[in-house]
Amino acid sequence: MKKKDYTILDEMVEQKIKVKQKKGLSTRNIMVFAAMFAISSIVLMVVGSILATTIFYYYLSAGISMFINATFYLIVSNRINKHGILFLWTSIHGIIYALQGYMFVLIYLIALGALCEIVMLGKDAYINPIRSAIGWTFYTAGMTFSTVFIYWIAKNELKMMMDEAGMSDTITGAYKILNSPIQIAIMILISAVLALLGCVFANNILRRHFKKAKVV
Amino acid sequence: MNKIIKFFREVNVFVLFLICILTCVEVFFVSKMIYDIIYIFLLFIFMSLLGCIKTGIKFLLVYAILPIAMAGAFILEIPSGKVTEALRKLPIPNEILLTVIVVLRFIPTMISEFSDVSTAMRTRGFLRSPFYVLLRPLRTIEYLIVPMVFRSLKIADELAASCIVRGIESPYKKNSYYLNKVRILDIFILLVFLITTIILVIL
Repeated sequence: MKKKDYTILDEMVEQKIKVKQKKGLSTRNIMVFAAMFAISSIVLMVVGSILATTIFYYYLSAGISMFINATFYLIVSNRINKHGILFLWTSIHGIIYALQGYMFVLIYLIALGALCEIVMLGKDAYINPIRSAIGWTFYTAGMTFSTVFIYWIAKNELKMMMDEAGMSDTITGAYKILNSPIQIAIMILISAVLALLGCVFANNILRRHFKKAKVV
Repeated sequence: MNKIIKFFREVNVFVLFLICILTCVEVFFVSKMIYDIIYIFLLFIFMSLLGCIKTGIKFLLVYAILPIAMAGAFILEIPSGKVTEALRKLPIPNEILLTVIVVLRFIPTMISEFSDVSTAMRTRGFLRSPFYVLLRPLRTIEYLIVPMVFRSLKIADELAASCIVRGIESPYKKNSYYLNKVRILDIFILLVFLITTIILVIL
């Protein structure tokens, strides 16, 4: 092969990579997304495990997690600013659940991701603070409802497990909360309000630190 | 013993995924605690054969009520290259695939970063008492989040550069150093878990 042929081959490969990057996310963006997602997963785990034994778990766990995670989401959305971020965010959650065996949650979360993308339709929605906040709040409401969804599907099995483990009181408390539409509405409302407040707080942090440092 | 561990560590990744699904089935459909304990011991034996006996003991002692997490821990023990090779065969978009792999690998790194940041905060007196933290929740969150984000963005940039240099953006078909073949041992492991799950569910 002549030197000229190598140059043509290099140009073809570069062009293919550019077309691919225009359509989707670049490797750098994927890594940023993965890093922020990993931190948000840790926050979810930590907050969940702290509140797991209390009655506040159903009301505050999702809300507090989403309040903190709003910063990580806004960094991703401001840095990448492409449609599909919320879909990717929910899908990864779903795949991680599916890898652990919860296949049915994957379908729910993919549907939620698609709905979130409909909410975020429009140009530059991801860098618009108000649109981003609406998207994040919608996502939070959907994620909070996923607890109810899992409970409805595995209600009997959970009851049997808890009875065996001598934790009947815990499941009775959960029954009361997750069987009442008003309690579910309160749960979702608290989470949504905390998510919205989280976006306000995150925008403040973004302006004071990350925009100044030109990170986003 | 090392030879046995090496032999078991070459297990097909899809077998591990299927064990996770079977564990979930076991958790949801098995009612008696004693059957759960039997299944957890089976997971522990498999974990020991993979060479993660310490992790197995931790799970037995601390997380005994979470067999699903125990099965999920198998995936974290397998090299990420092998998981990538296996997931590449599934109809998953490349972006989602890459993100899942990086997230699975990032979580332990981020936990250690969190502990570094909290040590720094403690040294500076920002975590002097729970009362102090409760009085200034937003400030504490800010002091934790900002360095965490800067640190993780730096790691993400370095990782991205490393991946690009290794040709992750190449549009051509990729091969892996790891082979993910189905062996007789894989079928045997799968059958052991499948039969155990079916028996426990029926009982």
